[in-house]
Amino acid sequence: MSEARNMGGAPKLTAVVCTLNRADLLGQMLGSLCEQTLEPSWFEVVVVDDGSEDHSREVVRAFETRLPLRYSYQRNAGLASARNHGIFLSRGELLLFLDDDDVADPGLLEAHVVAHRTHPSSSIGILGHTRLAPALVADPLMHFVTEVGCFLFSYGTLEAGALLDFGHFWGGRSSCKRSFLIDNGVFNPIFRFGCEDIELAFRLSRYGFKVVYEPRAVLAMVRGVGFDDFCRRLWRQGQSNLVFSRIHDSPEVRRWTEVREAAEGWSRFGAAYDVVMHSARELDRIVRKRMDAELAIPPEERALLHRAYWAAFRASKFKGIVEKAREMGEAVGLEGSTAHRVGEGTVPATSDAAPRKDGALGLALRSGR
Amino acid sequence: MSASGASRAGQVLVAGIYLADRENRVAQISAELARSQQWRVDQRWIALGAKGPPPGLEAVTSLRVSEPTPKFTLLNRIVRPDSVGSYEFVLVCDDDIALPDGFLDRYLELASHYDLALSQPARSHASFIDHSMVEQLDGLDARWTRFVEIGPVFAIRRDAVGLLLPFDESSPMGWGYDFVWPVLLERAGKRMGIVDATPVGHDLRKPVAFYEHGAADSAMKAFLASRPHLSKSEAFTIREAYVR
Repeated sequence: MSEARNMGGAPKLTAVVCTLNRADLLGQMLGSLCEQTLEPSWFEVVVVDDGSEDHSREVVRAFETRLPLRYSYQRNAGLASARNHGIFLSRGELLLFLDDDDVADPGLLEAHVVAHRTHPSSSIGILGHTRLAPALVADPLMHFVTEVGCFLFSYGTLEAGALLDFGHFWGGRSSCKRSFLIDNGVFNPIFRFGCEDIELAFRLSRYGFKVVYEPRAVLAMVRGVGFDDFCRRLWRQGQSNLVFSRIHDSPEVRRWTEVREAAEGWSRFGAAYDVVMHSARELDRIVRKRMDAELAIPPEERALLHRAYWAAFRASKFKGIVEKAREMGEAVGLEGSTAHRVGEGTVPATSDAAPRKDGALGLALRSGR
Repeated sequence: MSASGASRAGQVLVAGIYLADRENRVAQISAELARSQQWRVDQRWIALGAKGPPPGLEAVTSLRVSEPTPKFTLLNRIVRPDSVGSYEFVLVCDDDIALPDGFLDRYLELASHYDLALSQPARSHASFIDHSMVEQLDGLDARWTRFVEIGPVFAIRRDAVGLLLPFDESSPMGWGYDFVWPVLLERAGKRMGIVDATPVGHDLRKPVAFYEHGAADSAMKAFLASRPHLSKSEAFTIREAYVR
């Protein structure tokens, strides 16, 4: 199972699917890759199992005769490590990083290959489009995080063919040239969830890396996320943002990670965090009940829900940033003798931004990081 | 030369060079390797520089060289193929690495288990790393690869000695060996790989710090021009990943 069926010839594209304990969703993703318009001899699928304890292995095995497929297992080590594992297992000239909870449109792989043919420079990556699966379109939270608050995707202002910066190399829906990663850097394994894609693209941007948006390369997100799960996701994202900002002491990174906003925002949200979360959770519950009862949601109620979502999600992210800073022994403008006072346009202390050998940020020691 | 470990064990030869005039970790490295419980370890080190061996290392220092001399030219003086036949492994070692406790036993146990005729421990995350391929992959024990770097440490199993030794002195610093070695081993039907479960630190001196990158690159290109070799993209490949 760990050897490709098409060992003889290198495929044009490798789809790297990292998975963890989502066997059934993984089956949907692999099923969608069986329906691609791109000839199977042009691609391979590499599934990196990041320590699943469910029946993921058996699900993959069921597709062995239907896809040019390889499966490789690792103990749970996080998304960045799993993707690096996938990069080195891959034989394709192009790498497309996919998530296990999406489903590919039949033209997905072909659209990525064609886009790279249009943009052959090794430093160009391709960002595809992700839409919500029909079952999720009406979900109030999923609608908000993709179309209104843009906490998950932010396609609204993107134009086809636009040349985009590092902040648009969105994991799970982007592709790039393998040789560019081999030459210039791979994912930083410190990131177990969140920022692994943007941090890599930021490092690659020193070598000219840019992203082109290709809306014809379409995935559908099929897994809905509940309120508390999404808050937890943003809390983890915040933690990664803080680490990202400490590895790279750059204005662009500070802007993207919002560590300054976290210090200031937490001073407003922090004390009321529990109330903010409770209010949003209750509004989410009420709106869902009304929808289940097929009752209309008045515009003012929807607007109120959106404001509540906004506050809760921002607070969750800021909480992650602030708590990670504390864990790393830093002040983030909140308390302590070395804290910067908030509300005065100050930034979090960044004296630890330089790479250290002895701590978690020692990862930054390597060349090019 | 020194020996330690269980008498029934196979033999390992450690061959290394230390920069006697610069900060190094040879004392710690030598002591850690000598603590092996599974192998009888012989050590042959070359002291390169004006100073002599530090206290305690006289017995394992086989050679003292004061003139600047390329690494693999020196190594050829202490690992001649006809002098290493009794060793199960030849471990080629730099002087600026940090080894985890119990390194040699665990590392060679995994290299043996996964049938790696040429291998090296992965580089810890806090190391200086030129090639991302050699950085530890956290969820793995080891991987069968098409790349083993020329330093800071690698092990040649007995059955690969004839393929790799003596080192080709047309590239005396070793530039390019790591893209030729996979061709030599694969032709012979042997595996090479990286052992992730025993990462070593490489953070004392930056690689190539004392040489110009451009010169190294030119030397490598000249060496590779006349030899079958893999490209970087071909070499930086995992054939199979292992977890026990």
